[in-house]
Amino acid sequence: MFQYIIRRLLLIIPVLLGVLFLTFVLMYMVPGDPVITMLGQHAEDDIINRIRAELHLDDPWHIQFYNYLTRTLKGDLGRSYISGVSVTDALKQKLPNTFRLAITAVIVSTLMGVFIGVISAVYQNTWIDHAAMTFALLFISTPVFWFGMILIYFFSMTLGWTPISGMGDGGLSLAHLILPAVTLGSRFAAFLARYTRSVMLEVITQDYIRTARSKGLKERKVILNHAVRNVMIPVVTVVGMNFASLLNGSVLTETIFAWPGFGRYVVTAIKKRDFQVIAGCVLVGSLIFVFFNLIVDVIYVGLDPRIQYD
Amino acid sequence: MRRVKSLSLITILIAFFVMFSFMMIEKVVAEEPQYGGTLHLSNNTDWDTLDPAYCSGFDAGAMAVKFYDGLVRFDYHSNDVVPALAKSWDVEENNTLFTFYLREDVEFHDGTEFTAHDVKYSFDRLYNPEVASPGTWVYPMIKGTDASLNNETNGLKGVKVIDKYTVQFELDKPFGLFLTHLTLPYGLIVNEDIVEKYGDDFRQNPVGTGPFKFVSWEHDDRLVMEANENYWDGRPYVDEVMYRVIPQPLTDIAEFEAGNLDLTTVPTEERERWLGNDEWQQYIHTMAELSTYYLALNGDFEPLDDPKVKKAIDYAIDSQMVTESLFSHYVAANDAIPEGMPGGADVEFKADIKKAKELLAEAGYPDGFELELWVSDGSTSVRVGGVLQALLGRIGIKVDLIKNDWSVFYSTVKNGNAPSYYLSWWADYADPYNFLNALYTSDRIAFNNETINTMLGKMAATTDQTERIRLSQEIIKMTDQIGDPYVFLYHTSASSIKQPWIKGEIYHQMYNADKLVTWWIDQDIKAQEMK
Repeated sequence: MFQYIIRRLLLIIPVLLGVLFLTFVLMYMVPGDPVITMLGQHAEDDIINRIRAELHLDDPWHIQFYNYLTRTLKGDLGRSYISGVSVTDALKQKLPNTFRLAITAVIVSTLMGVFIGVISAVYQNTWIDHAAMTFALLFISTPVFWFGMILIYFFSMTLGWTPISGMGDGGLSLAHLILPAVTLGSRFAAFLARYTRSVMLEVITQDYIRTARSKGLKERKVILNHAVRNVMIPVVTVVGMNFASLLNGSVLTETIFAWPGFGRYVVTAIKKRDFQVIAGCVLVGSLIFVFFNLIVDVIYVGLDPRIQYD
Repeated sequence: MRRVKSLSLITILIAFFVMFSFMMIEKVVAEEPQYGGTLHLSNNTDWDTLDPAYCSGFDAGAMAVKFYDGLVRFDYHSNDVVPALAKSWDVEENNTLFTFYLREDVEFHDGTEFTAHDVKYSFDRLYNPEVASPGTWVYPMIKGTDASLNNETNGLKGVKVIDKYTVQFELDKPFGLFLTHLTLPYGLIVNEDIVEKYGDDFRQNPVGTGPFKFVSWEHDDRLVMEANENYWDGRPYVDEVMYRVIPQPLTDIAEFEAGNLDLTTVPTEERERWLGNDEWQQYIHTMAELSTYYLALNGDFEPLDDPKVKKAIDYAIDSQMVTESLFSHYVAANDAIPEGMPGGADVEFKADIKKAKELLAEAGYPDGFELELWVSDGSTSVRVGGVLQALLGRIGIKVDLIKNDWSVFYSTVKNGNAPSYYLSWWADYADPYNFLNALYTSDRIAFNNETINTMLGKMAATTDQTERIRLSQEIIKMTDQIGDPYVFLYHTSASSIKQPWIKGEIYHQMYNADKLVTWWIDQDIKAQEMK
């Protein structure tokens, strides 16, 4: 197991190198210019050329790639072309914010999704199942932007239970966290409910469930100890993959709730063609993705003792 | 008995008089600015920088003036240029020699004394090639800027320290708007030791002479500043200002509605709800902005080089109809100069399909032609592009609408590769020269008219406002006659809404005029309203 983890960790290096290389190639293929974007309508050719030279943007791309790589290996992700802020410092500030949001979203959506999915399967074709699946369909089809605004209107403006936006005055504020987390996790919860239901329906028709029932076990025990446990393996895979996606794809939620996170940071950088920031974010985003895949694989072992890694 | 009654009446009258006087006094006292409190404001985007040398955007410039001062600034209630760090100045030798006499009681936030050396350093720094400032377009008229940028000299020859509190600027040629250019954020004064102390992080650690001291900045979240108790122009009324970054306008107005923001802009989607509300109307201020939105026609692409084709397009686009149908609260444009700014020529609005078709036929295109129209991917741009496409379709011009994100869009436009495009110009300062020079000397549209260039040169040189306005009107009339490469569409306006407890706020057309020193919070009203 330990050797397997080490081998997987070492494999991260070529993956990241490949991702960086592709990012650099893509950035040079995509039209648009960070200096012209930065200067706006006062962009005169001599100023553009001077700033481009100062930022080494006029170097050939392979030289820029080599320079970026050597600097990154020393732990320096460079500075934003636009703001001059160190990418590492910015990520140190924004990643924890998005982590906080994504973890809460995953917890809320997994609890809700698995619960609703299991209940739906257990009460298949009853009104409970139909109601749950209708709600799931509704949430999957609801645009995040609209849902976030509705939550603000109802819980913040009308009931006054939660703050409207932001992160509060520092520290972990659950009140500030709950609406963005629910918004971010709502579609995933709905998806998970449908997914859990279908997996659960398959599991409860298996022989070992029939055997458990025929042994006279209480239905609750059959469901919780035998069925749900087997449902968790595919569910954990989906949750693990989606956690990384929630980290990278939280831009809409972060915009609605003025949450200073990773998603807004990277989208702003893409709009402004801030290559240093884009490369840093892609690198860190990929690292998170690969790392979570590894964690999911390790969790499998705990859930299913039959799985072993050499 | 009668006497007693009279005495009682007099006593009652006196009591009323005294009560009334107290009420009046209380009212007057209540309107006296109060010190203290925190001002809560917002911005829809994070600030790129707080270093004056890199303030290329309006947001950064508007924020930088809270921490820094220039030699001059805009008056808080007009577009006049008034003294700031310079208490007075002499202008000699036909607008080429400016001597500034500096205030002697000014300190930077860290206690460093402000002197003429700081002024020289700030301008030398702007033209230091290693700094790579985007602001070198602002003061090219100062002697020695090219030499400095080419590393031929160390510092600007045209900026001289005469003594500790006197500094002199020598220009290559007369420039009547030099003082106005000094109001721009690139002209804010920094201190060499402080800049070197912070190095690369100076962009996010502003230490100037301005009315507010920097406290903290959580990027994309909030920026906090506190009153500079020793501000040379008197400390601001509020103790602290907290700016929040709220990118979504609907979230922003919700925060305002909940009383968490003191002033904000009414989003377009919410205009009817707020402007139609009797209770709030008195707290809403609508102001014409110094902007001009237009369709540009690039003469490098056939048949847009033909003046008749340009005129035909002008006649085909009814800017009043476009404005009314898309933005009823904006003002339709007939020339480049925004409403409320002198220099406009009242050129007639053109809307005549028949004449447009005739002109197109005369130009040899009776069946129209195909035209690429570039727009950015913002929703407003796409909507306007669609309307222009429909209007030009009426005279047979088949418009191919090309949408791209801002970076691709503007790079294409900047490189002269867009045959036609929809764009705007926002004032750097309130003078027609700023608009006309930007529009008619641009290499984006292949327009080069010697007479107009000469007139623009005269506009730049003169300090005579009347003459500048006359020249502006002449240029506008001339471009209209020879086939304007621009079809002007509309000028924008914005509505701000404030909480009842906010007093002394400024609504200025220039983004960099307000230093927040006049704002104060009526704590009594706030306490009452928040209940």
